Amino acid sequence: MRVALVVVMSVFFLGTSCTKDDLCSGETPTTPLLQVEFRDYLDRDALKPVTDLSINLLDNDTTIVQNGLNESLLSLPLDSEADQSAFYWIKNASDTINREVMTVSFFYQRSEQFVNRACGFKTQYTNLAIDIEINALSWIQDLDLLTPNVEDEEQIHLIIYH
Amino acid sequence: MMAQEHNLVVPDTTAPKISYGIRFGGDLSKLLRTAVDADYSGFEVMGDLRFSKRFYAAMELGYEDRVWDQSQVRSAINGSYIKIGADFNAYNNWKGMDNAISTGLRYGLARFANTLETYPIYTTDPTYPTVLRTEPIEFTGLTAGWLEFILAIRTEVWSHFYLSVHVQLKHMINETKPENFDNLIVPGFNKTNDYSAFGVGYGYSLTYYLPLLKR
Repeated sequence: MRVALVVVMSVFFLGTSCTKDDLCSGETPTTPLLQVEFRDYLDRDALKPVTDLSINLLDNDTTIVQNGLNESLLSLPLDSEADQSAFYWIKNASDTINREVMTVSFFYQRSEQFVNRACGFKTQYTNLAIDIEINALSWIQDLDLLTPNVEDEEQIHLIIYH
Repeated sequence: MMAQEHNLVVPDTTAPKISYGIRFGGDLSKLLRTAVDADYSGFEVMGDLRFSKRFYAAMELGYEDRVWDQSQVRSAINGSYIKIGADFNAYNNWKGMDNAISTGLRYGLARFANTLETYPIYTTDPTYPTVLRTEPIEFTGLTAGWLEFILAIRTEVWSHFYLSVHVQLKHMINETKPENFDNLIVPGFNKTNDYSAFGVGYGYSLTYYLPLLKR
């Protein structure tokens, strides 16, 4: 009886000690960030970082999305509570004389997808459209939207030439 | 020669008779959990019928109303289940005793409803705060079927009354999942697993044994 009780207890213990699914793993794809790549307008295959890029929300200028980024890759959040997200993209942000501001707006449709019990639900974006006023003086010179669907972060969604 | 043949017959006629009968009772752990856990209410009744020295036909019937309430999902699951199978008693009792260390196999079947009550949107970026979705989405008529392996210890605590402790290892066979959601709990199966078809459970029960015949 005693041996059997130990066997029973250990089976029970092994069974309940697996708590793998209680925490959302950072490797689990959840709500995707828009993957933006910056390239050289004159040499369209060459990556070109933006100098001192800061991004603020258009409707709430004090909310800083990015601060002083000097990379050629940008991960940008899209609002999962509204069908549009609008930003100020500021080049040379900390330079009060040479800073250049552009308004960049995204329009899309949202769908909510179940991931698992630990992560819950994520938003995926479809029919993505962009509104940027590009002219001869703007620091952004061209763009290339590679896909209208932002479902994961496995690929670049948008290329900005400058 | 004649005397030897006579001696061989004697043990058979004096062999202890086996009591055959039915056993019925209920799960105490589910009642206790109903009393102390606000997210749980349920009960289970069970019975078995001995049909050979070591084998018993067994059945459980139950109902569970449970809430899965974690930071990313809150859902309510309620429904009933039936488990049908057999137990094998591996314990050699002394004469007149009827204790058991048994293994059992069941096929479990549940019919239930699953209501997604609240959830936020999971995002790794804090820029846009997400709002909790509170419009309940109900999925009814869901079913699940599974195989269950049981290990149990049963001992007589009072005349004809038995207390047993058991653990269960389950493997989901078929399950209707709600669209764009999941059954985080299945009545009778217990918590499901996101990464495999296995599940576990335990219980302790009090049963009454009604002897019907001895032979």
